[in-house]
Amino acid sequence: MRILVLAKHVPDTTEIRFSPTGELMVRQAPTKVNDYDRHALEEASRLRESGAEVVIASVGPPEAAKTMKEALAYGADRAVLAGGAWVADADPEAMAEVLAAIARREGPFDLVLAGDVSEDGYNALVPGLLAAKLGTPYVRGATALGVGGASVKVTRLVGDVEEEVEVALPAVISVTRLLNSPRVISTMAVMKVPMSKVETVDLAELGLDPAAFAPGALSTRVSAVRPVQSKRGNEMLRGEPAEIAAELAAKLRGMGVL
Amino acid sequence: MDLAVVVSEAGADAGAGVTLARKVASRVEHLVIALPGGERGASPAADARYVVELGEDAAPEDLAAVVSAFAESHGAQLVLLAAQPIFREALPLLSVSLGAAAVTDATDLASGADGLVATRMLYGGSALAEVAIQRPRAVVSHAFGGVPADSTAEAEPVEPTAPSGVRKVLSRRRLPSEASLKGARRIVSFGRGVRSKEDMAMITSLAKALDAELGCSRPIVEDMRWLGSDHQVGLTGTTVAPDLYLAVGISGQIQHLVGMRDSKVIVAVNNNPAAPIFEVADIGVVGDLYQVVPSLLEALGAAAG
Repeated sequence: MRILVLAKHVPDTTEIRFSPTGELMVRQAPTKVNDYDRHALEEASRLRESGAEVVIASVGPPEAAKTMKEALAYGADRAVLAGGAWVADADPEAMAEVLAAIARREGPFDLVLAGDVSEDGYNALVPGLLAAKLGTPYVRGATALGVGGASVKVTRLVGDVEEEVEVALPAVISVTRLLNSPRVISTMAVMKVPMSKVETVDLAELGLDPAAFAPGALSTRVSAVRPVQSKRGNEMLRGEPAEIAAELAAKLRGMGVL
Repeated sequence: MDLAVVVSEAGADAGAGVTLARKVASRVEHLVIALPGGERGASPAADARYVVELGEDAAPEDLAAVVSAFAESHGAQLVLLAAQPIFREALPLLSVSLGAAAVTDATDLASGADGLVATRMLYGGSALAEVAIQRPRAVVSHAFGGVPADSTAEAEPVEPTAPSGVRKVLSRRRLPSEASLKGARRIVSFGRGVRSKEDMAMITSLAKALDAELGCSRPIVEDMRWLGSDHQVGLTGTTVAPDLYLAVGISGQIQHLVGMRDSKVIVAVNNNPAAPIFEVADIGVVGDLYQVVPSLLEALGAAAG
């Protein structure tokens, strides 16, 4: 069994701030492996313990090589990181195109696992786009997985319905955070991963035409970003709990929401 | 643009979808996905109405195939999908088969100088991005639907494509739902400030006293696993807008704020005066929830008694 895991290098969105002039300060935020992808890495690592080969694929800036080491520490054979100046503008469609090229070059794979969303863009598009480009089945949002000989059984929640579906391999499955509990990765474990396990490739090495990845040639382009602002009262109550509680209850009654 | 197709499940009012599509297209057609012999839904203000019947087990790939064929034969430049799970799963498949740009969870659409521009949230909701569409076609999802339907409205039938047979549904069961956050008038929600599972009882009592539904932040479901995901408020849980949202011991990660910031009145209780939750609160209580919540229960009880 050969497994490809998609793992994204993302900024920690809880640390993203806007400058006083309204500029988004993403570069200053600490970075990490996308939390949802950790569950895909954990699942693949467990399958590797019963003999599967696991390759990690990613699209990211040069700093992502460090993040790939962390992803490898879950237990994978190697990582392929596609990079270049084009990454800054790459939309989900472009990323899926590049990941499909990696999957073809490194493949064939029986199973592709990925987190259901990435914390930065929340597009929830790349796994499905990749499946469509590879021409394989795609099942979204696994809460449990059972990989058999030629098929995979996926348990998932669709609204308030729990469903079990089966698709033939190869398949692309996106996973939720309910799938498993990822192991804790120590700094030491990350340091022990040799950088030689991370292969960095550019578009030409993947047989892709760089012109198709120029900002104007992409399917979408982010043309403007602005902060979301709150227009709330922000009235602060401080003091003795009993007094604040009484004041709060009175205010809520006055507002007619009790 | 000339034509947009709005696609929604029957039983949902597609009015908001049609209105949004109307902003950017001169003609708007509504394609209703219905169960065989089931409800048809309403299509206020659409120029034409079509219905395709798909079984309850219909797979996203089958939905993508029928919508793709419809959009292709009608020459639609925009396909606007309701944000229900089956549409979200079908969206990437549909965009690849149409060679279209894909945008999920658009909050707005506009016609720019160079074509369609979609607005959507970025970085967990801390920013809004304008996304310029650089393809002749786009497939976009938008949160609409959920209002009672008119089952009598006329619609032209559309033949479904042959089932792909890609997936086999082995079982389906409706889970007993504990929380009904959607549509709740009052919600008491808690986060990591509550230190143990036993201490949840205090929050449950407060919810009861306020006749409120019980909500929580993501870590309570995904990391602590104290409650099921039907209690989770936020981007990956339920988006709510009650009259009163009382957040207890929730620091206010952006992904939570996105799910509740449209509430009418927001009250936050947190011991950290710098907690981001206070930025979206109408009333902030700086204090230890282990003291504030019992006091609040007393204050509410005293008034009731």
